[in-house]
Amino acid sequence: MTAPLDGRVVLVTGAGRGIGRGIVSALVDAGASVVASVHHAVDGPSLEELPRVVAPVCDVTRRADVDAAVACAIASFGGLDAVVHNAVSHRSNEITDVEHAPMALFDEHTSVSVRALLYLAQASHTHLAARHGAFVIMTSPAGIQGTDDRALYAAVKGAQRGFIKSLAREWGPDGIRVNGVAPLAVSPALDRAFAGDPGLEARLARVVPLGWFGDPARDIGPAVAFLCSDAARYVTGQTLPVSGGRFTAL
Amino acid sequence: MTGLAGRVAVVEGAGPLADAVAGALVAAGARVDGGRPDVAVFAAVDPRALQPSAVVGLSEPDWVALCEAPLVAALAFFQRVFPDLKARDGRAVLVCPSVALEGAAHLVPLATAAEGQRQLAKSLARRWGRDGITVNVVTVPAQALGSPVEDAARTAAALGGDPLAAAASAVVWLAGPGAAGITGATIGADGGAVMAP
Repeated sequence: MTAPLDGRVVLVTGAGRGIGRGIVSALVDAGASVVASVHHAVDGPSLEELPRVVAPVCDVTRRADVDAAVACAIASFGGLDAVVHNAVSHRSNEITDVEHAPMALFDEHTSVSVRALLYLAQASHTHLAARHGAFVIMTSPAGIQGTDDRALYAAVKGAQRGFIKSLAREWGPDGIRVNGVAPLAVSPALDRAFAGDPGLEARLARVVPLGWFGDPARDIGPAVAFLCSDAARYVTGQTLPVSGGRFTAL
Repeated sequence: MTGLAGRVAVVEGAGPLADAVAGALVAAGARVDGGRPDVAVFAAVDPRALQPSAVVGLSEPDWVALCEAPLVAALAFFQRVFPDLKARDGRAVLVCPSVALEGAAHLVPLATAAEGQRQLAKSLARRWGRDGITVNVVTVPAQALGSPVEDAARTAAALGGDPLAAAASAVVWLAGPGAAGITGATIGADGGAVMAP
């Protein structure tokens, strides 16, 4: 039996840690070859222990780095079937007083979450069109419902949803699908918070109908793999919340 | 109508949309005279962003101007008016193109900016409720703003009529006493085209 992504090549940004690493793991399990672009070189070697993974360093806010990551897919695996933009600013979890937020902080968010979309779309379009590929953006429930303490993050995550819906319409005739995933998952930051407060995880998990926080590799990655696969060939322009039922109001 | 008598409004933007909103606010009794605002409406849409363009052909400066600058402008506007709104149980309204909700081919920067603005507005609504401020959104079809692109929000409308006038009426209602309990909502002034969610 062939795996759903056998012979497919996927570029994942922000693959070094957390959800990105889980996505890489799930894509590999589904048979894909993966260019796992990492922001910090230190994260590369352990990713490359997985089969069919190369892990170049890539700062998605630099066009040349993004072009090089796409070129890496072609050079390493002979083509590109899907792009997964998962990278976010390292300041994305910062609680922010939006009333006084400096524009430089907003630009930090925008450069990773929005401007990088331009670079990734322009670098990948020809390759994705050649293979009727997929473009997947890791957005957020904050980009659906807003959030009272991270408004800048919510704004760029919402912007990504506008991008998804529009680019899906623009690239549909090229046979390219564009979708989003809005995950609720444990992250390195959340893990640290749980470690520091033993009751925190249980308290927070009470608002999740399924009762737990998603695991990047087991719960979030497979949804991304699905959207990259032929099983989702008629799905485009959508955002799939993968949140244990926490977010239902889309 | 004088439902907004004694209230001061500020309308960000230029062109027919901002004019329609400002006109309706004045007709309802508000002053739009540069005083400290009780009502702050962001209704700025860059006409260049209404022209069709393909993502693959956009230059980076165009992307920044058409997509990112409107996000910055909305944030800066709402930051600027916040102290006055807080002092007055104020009302904030974002008017943006309905492509925010359903997207449109060849209007990617416009839709990306608009949906980002909308999620910013929702976040402000969640945050500023404690200060007695409401923040709501009104969407209008891009075509009504002058875009030549056929977006479904126009072609699927159930009602005819002037979307800019409908948007202005919605803003007046959101700014008035009857909408005191409404925040974070999006009203489609699109003749019933999108009906989202």
